[in-house]
Amino acid sequence: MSWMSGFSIAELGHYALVLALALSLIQSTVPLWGASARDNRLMRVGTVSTLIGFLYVTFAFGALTVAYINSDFSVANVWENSHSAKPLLFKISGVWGNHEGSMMLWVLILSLFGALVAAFGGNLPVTLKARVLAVQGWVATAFLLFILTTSNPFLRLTPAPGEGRDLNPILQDVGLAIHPPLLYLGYVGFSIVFSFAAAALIEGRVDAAWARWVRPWTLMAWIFLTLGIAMGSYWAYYELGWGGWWFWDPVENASFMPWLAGTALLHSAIVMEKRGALKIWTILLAILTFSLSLLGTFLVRSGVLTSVHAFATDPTRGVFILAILVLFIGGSLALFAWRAPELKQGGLFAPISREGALLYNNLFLVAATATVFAGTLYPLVLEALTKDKISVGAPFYNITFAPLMVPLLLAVPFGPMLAWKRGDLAAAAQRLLFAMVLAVVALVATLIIEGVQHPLAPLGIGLGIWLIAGAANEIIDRSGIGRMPLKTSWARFTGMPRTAFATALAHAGLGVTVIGIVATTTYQTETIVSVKPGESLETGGYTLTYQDSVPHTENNYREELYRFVVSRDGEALLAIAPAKRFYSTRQMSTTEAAIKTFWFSQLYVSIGDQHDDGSLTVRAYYKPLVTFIWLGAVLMAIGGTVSLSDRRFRIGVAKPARAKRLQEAKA
Amino acid sequence: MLLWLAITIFTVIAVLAVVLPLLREGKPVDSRENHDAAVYRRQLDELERDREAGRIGPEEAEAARAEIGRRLIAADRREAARVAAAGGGFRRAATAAVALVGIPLIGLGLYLAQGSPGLPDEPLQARLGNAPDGKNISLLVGQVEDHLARNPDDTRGWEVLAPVYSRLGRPGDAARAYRNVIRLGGSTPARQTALGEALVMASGGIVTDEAREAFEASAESGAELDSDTAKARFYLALAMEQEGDSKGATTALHALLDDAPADAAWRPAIEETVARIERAEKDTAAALFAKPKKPALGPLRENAPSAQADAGPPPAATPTRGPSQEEMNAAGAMAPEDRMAMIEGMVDNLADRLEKKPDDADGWLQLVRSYAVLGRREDAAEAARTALASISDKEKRREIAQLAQDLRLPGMEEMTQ
Amino acid sequence: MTRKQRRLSLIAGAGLVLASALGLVAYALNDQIVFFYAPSELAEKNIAPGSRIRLGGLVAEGSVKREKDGEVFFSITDTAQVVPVMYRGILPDLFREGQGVVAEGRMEPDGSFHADSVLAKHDENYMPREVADSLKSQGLWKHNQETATQ
Repeated sequence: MSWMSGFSIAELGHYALVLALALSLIQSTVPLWGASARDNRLMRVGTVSTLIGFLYVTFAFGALTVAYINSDFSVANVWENSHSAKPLLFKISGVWGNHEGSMMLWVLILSLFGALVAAFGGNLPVTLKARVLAVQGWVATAFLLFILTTSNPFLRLTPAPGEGRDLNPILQDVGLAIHPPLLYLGYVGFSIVFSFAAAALIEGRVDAAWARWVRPWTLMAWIFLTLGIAMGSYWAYYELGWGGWWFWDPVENASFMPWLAGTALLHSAIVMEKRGALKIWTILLAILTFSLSLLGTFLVRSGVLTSVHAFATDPTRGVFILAILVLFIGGSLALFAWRAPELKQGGLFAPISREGALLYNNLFLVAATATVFAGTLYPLVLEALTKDKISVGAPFYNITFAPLMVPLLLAVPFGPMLAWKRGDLAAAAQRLLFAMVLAVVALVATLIIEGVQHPLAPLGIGLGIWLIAGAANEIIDRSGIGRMPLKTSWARFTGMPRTAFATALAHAGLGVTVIGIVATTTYQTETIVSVKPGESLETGGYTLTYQDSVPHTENNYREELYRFVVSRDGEALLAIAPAKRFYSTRQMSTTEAAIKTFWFSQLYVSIGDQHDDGSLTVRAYYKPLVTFIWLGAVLMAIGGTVSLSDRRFRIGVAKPARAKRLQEAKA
Repeated sequence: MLLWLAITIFTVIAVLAVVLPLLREGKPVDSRENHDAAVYRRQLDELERDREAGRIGPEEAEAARAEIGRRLIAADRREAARVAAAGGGFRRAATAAVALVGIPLIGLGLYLAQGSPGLPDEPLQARLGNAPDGKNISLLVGQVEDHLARNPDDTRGWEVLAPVYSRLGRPGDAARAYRNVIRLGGSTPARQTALGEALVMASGGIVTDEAREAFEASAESGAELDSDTAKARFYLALAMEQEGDSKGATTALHALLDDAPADAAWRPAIEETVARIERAEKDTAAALFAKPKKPALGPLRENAPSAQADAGPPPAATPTRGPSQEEMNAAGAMAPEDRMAMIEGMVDNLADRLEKKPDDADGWLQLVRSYAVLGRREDAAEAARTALASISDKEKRREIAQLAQDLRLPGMEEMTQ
Repeated sequence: MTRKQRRLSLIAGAGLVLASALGLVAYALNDQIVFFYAPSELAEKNIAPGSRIRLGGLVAEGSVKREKDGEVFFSITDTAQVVPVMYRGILPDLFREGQGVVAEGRMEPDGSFHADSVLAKHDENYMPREVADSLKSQGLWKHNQETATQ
């Protein structure tokens, strides 16, 4: 083995990362040159260098992961963020649980999307593909430079320290293992859409075909982002121990803004694809969506905000990302201003029409994005200008974001009911009678059961039912169930394009989330009391009896489990054990809430201080229908997946075209 | 070597990724308009389906068809294939040249600026060296602790855990565990001796009052003289010595030897200690070694019978690069002269190694200690001076100076800051 | 409607929605934001009782008193001024004496502060940004902590 001595996977990973930068420089330039000269070979250089560059980034990421798994503390980044006693899963998730590693993940996903276009973009016009890869190469170059110059994870220590400095215990959780990759797949995924937009502007041509190529990428990114946000929300809910699921925290907003803009883009791309209208607007949205992703990266990674998510603290990094942000947003908007006027306008439509409805959707989504943008950035700007420190929280969004959502949600079921080009609102309303009746019934039922002390809540529940029933109504109406013989309607049902089901699923999911949000915020019960062993407390109809506390030791922490028996109407149902953990390496403790799900509602118990006399402060919530919040998001993501599986996306456009030309050539 | 080979291969692949596509003419450039036309035809099909399903009014469908038709015609008209601009040879040559020069230049330039090509990986496994299961042991200990936290009255659990703590270098925990064993399972000479030993280890080699009580409980239990009670009496004698009563200590040890069976395995160790104390009485300077501050010294612990009875892995604090545990065990089974020879040999090896690689602070610390233990005080002082001259780490220098001062090495007293 | 009229009506509709969004934002920024103060700023500015603010500083040593019913009394200080705080609920895991904290709530007429939420730093690298800044401006920020808060 002596010939292996001195070999280092980490060093080779470092070198692979540098090579990836060199290749991304090639990728940023050569295919552009090739496209303008229509030189096939040069354009192919773009494809190959993108693929090899992706391999090198993957190798670098893998090398870092190996260092984490082996607890190789000669790598400074591993030493700072890992510990040999950590379970394997958290050693691996620790790779992206810190600034350097998370930027590596960012770049990995960026180059993954580039590689997907390079590998599967065979049905794209070659010049468009070459330009898309080049723009993707610019982004990759910027971020690889950022990593190598300010956030290099491969710096070494000698001699290697004996033990690592652990990972923040709050972040030592399965949620962290999954949440950032999903989120990044989402908002870095929008980079492809951005590249398509910039490439189209360079090419000077945007048309229906363009929208058809862009839509699957938008959908893919949007699905991941939806899941990522839902996952992050659930993670904060159970890990932070105070039962909140959305805080309007700038870090959450950072991922929510691209989601709102991405949702708008998804809808406007439909209009562009089917009717050739809204071209310029769709291009602008594509640029804005990724710009908001970049803004999110800046907010989270620059240390401009300091919160749970923001672990970065080095100001030079902030300035670097800000430069990237200005360069890309400014550059793309300048390109837009220069080229957009040359784009030809598409099909006409009346204000009341499917196109009009989708535009209405875009209008409200963009306005809502703007309010979140203002709420997120205003405190930073104000502080920079006046030194006044303010915080913008839920009250702000309740009177800005919420009022914009109501007209949008009310209109959602109408959209799919309207015909293209010119629709009939009255006819659509008539067809939505079933959904309207259900929504009113739900409203009245909520009023009767829960009373009038929260007058807005029944309206919210009614709105949620309106969305769900409206989605079902659309499917029923299109298949003709109830109006036609069963056989006919079944044939129509199975013959419907998948996108119809996708729309219905996603809209129903939105309704489910709305119901979850309204029910939890208005009807949850909260109890804070102090109990001694044997004493009980009550919340949401459940009785919790405190039994005793038992210690428990894991490899890297000790915890005290506080055991409760949950009963209802005198009948013991189950035992729960919220806990307090103590992580010895970081000398810090965390609260582990105990969460039990009853149907769709949850009992949420967390522990406060233990007093000298053995009594214990307990905070218990009953959160009705709280799981709807995340189930709805999952439904939306399923809807997106169904739409992505629609056969239209899979048909290669180039092949039939070539076959036809060959025929012509023969003839 | 291997790293540079890999770096070369990686670089070559990267350059080829650029150069190879330049060498081969692939499929001809598809015209953009072909794609567009195909998309528009599909749009027409879909429009027809929408019209049939009533998703669009008949008039509007007609208008839409006209819109799409116009675009289709426009696309067809533009289909005249554009030819690649001339000058392909120059473009390819330029690209290839940039790749050939630029990729290795950027690659090596940026890498060498920040990388450390000479440093090998140091995974934890490798650094743990001869204790590959160290992590698993701590996991197992965690499980037993967990079990005991819930069943604090499980004698057997404490009994299993106690010696493991000792071997892991956690004598304080070991003492606590032995106390629990005694509380729950009753006092036996073996348990009391083990408790006493743990307490001695915890206090850094000093026989504290608490430890003395435990040894007394063992020695005065009236049990037959065996290795446990003998060990207890041995420690009690050491306690006397520590209090300056060397005479009492040797008397007690002689009494112990009188009582001991002629074939007892621990006889030589006691005889040696007697000899040492008697020597030390003559040479007060050497009395220092009777009061070892750090029991972590491998060879020193060989003097105590405990190390002979115990054949476990070294405590975690023991430097891993000195004599290994196997060697120590072997040393324990040897005749005293052979053992000394073996230890001296190992120490000389260490000295040789440090001469070649003088930046090993822990190695120096061990060497100084070893010389001191072997009574080679001049050598120890010399080693400490060399170490201070060749170690740059401030913290380590302080540690070495401290050790030299603790050992009162000749010529080193003024080293304190 | 002609093509031009249609476009105008669309633009007018869009303008209306965006204008109302802007209006809401402007109104909310006047009314719904919460200012942050350090104890000494609080003393200077004479904040009216009942207005919602955030108060940040260090938890004064020895000031924490926990009552049985979940009520907690403690003081927030920036070492120049001290403000007594009443809070009912569960304190964050990292709430400790001598550590940074931000409390949100209202001033009582008697000069004490009634908090309805308390945030502590989430790990040893995190100090609520406002607290770090205000302590820094007072020259109290220890150098070794500074790197962690920029």
